Amino acid sequence: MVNSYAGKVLHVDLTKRKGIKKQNLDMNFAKKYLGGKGFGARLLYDMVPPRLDPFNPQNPIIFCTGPLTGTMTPTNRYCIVTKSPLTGLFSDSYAGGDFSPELKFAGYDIVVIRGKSPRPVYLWIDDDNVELRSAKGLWGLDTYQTQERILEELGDRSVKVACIGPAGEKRVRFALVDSSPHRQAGRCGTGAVMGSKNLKAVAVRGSGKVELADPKAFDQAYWKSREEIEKSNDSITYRKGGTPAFVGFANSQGLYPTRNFYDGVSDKVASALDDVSQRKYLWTREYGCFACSIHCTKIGRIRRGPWVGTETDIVEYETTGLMGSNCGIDFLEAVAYATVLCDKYGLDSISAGNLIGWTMECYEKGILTKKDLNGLDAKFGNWKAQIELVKMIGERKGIGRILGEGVARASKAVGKGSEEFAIHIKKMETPAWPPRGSPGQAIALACSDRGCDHQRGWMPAYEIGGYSWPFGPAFDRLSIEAKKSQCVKWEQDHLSALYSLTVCEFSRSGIANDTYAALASAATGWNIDYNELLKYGERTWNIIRVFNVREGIDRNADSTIPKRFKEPIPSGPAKGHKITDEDFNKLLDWYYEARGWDKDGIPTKQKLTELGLEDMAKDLKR
Amino acid sequence: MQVKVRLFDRLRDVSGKTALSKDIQKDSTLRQLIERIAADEGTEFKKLLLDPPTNTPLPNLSILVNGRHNRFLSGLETRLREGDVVDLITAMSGG
Repeated sequence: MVNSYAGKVLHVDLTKRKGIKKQNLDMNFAKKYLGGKGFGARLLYDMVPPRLDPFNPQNPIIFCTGPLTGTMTPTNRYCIVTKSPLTGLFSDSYAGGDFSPELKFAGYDIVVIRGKSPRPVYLWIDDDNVELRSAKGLWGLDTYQTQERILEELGDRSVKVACIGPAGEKRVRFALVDSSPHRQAGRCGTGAVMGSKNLKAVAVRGSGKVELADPKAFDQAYWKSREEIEKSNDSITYRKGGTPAFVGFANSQGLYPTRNFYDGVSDKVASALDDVSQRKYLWTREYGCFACSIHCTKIGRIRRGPWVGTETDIVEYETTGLMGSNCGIDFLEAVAYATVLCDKYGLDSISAGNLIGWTMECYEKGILTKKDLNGLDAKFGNWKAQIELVKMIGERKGIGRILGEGVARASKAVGKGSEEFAIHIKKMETPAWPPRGSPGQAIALACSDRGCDHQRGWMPAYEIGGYSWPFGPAFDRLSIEAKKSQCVKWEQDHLSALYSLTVCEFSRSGIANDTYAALASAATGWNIDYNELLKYGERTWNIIRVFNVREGIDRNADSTIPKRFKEPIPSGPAKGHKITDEDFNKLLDWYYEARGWDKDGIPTKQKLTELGLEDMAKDLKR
Repeated sequence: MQVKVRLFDRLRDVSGKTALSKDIQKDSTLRQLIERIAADEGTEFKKLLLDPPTNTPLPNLSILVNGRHNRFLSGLETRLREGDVVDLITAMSGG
C-alpha cells in the first residue's frame, strides 16, 4: 500500500570499514510506533543495555522522521534520540528548518549511527549513495563555519547539514546539534554523543518525494489545519512576536526565572528582551521552517553596541529567561551576542544560562572567586563575564572544564553548599518555566521523560490562563487536585504523539486534535482517530519510562525538586507560594494512578500489556 | 478608586500600551471595567475584547484579577477593589 513513509532505514557503523547498510522499514514496526519519538524510543530500548556509558560507542545516535515529515503539514521537524550524557536517561531532541524533509526525500525514515570512527568524519547521504567523508579540515570549526565548508566542498548550496561545534567535539554534556539553516536540536547533549563518535556532521540531499495514502483526504485536512492556524490568536502571536512574545506574560505572573531562579519577576529585563525590543533593535526578517505557516522565527542583525553587524537569530523566550533575567542581564545586544556564541560553539543556551546563573550566585556568595574564574567579576548583571563564561564552556577552558559537565556535576565538584542552589531535576537544568505559582508544572517538570523539561507538559495555560483541556475545564491557580495530575498525563501523551508525527508543538496552538489525526490517517492510510493518536503517545511514554526505570529512575528520582522551589517565591501574584512536599506527593500519587503505574512509579504489567508491550513487562521483572 | 490593567500580546500591540490606569467607581464589577476599556481604547482594540453580537468578552480572552482567573472568583461580576491588577491576555503558550 502506498503511504507517506520513505520505506528505508539507514544503518551506519562508524567503527567498521564497510559499515553502511540499508534495510526496509518494517511496516508492522511503523504501525505500532508511528514515527519520530516512537521509533526512537523503541529502537533505543532494544539497542542500549542498562547502565551503558552514553559515550560508549555502542550508544546509538538515531535520526528519526515521521509520517508527516516532508508533507505539506504545517511544521516539520526531525528528532535525534540517544542516551543522554547529561542525564544518563533516554533523550529526544528536535529541530525544525529543512533538514528533516530532505532526509525523507533522500529515501530514509530513520538513520541509526553506531560505533566510533577512528578519525573525524561526516556522513554524506546523497539519495542512494551514502559515504563517510573525512572531517579532518572541519574539526574545530564552529557550526556556522562547518555548514559553509560542507556546502562548499559538496558544491551544492541546496544540501542540508546537521552538525556539531567545538562544544560537541569536547563533549560538553549539553552540546547541541545545529541543522540547516541553524535550527537547533538543543537539549540533552546529543551533540556530545556525536562528538564522542568523531562524527562532525550529517549532510543530506534528496531528490525523491513523499507519497500519500489518500491525497484527497490529506488535502482536506491540510487546508483545515491552515485555517485553524490562521484563526488562532496564539499562532498569530507566534508569527508576530515569536516566543519572546510570551516574556511579558511570564514576568507578569511571577514565572520569569530571575537571578538563578531566586525570584520570578524581572521587569527591567522583561521589557529589554521581549518581542517589542527585539523587533525594534534586532530583527530584520521572518523565517519559517519547511511547510510551516506560523513563521515564529526571526532573523536579525545587531545594530547597536560592540557587536554591530553580527547576524543573529531570534532570542527565544527560553534564552531571554536563562541568559537574560536568570543572570540579571538586561542588555539585549549582549544576550543576542551570547546566544550567537552558544549556537556557534553548539551549546544549549537553556543549560548554559542556568549554569551561568548558578556560577554568578556562587561568585556573589564567595564560593567561587575571581581566581577560580580567570579574573572574571562574575556578579549578576555582568554581561562581559557571561560572554567569557560561554567561551570557556564552549572551549572547555578554565572553569569551563567543570561547567561543561552540567550544573549537577559542576555543583558536586565545587561543593561548599552550591548543590543547594543548583537548579535541575535528574541532572537536567531547569528551563524558564519554573513551578512556583503553577504547582501542576512541578509534576510536569519532575515527571518529564528527559529530565527537567517544559516541552513535555506546560501547565500555566490550564492553571493560570483558564484554558480547558479535552477531559475537563481549567484549574484554579494554586489548587492541588487529582485532575491536574491527569492533565499532565494527557499533555505528555498528546505531545508524545505529536513528536512521533514529528510536528512542532507550536502548531498545537492552532491545529485541532482531530485535524492531526486526520492528517496522520490520510498520510498513512491507517484509520487513526484522536484517541488512537493518544494511545501512540502513551505507548511511547511507557517505553521510555521502562528504559529510565532500567537506569534507576523511580519515585525518589521523580521527587528531587530543587530546594529553591520549596521556599516561598518573593514576588509576583503568587508571592509566598512554594512547592511543599505534601502537595507534591499528593500530585505525584495522582499522576502515577493516572498513568497506571505503581506507587513507586514503575509501570505495571497490566498497563504494559494493555499497550502491547508485554516483552517489556518481562524485562522489568528481571 | 484606581485599578491597573496590564495588556499583553495583540492587545498591547493594537493599543501601543503595556498598561492602563483606570479610575473607576467603588464596587465596580469586572464587566463594567471591561466595557469601559472597550469604549475607551478604540474599535480595533474592542474587536479583540468583545464578541460583537453579545458584547461579552471573547472566549479566548483570559481575564485575571491579581493573577487569578476570574472564573474562580465571581466571573465578570467580581467586585474590584482599590489597587487591583487586572491582566488581559489573548494568547498564551510556552516557548
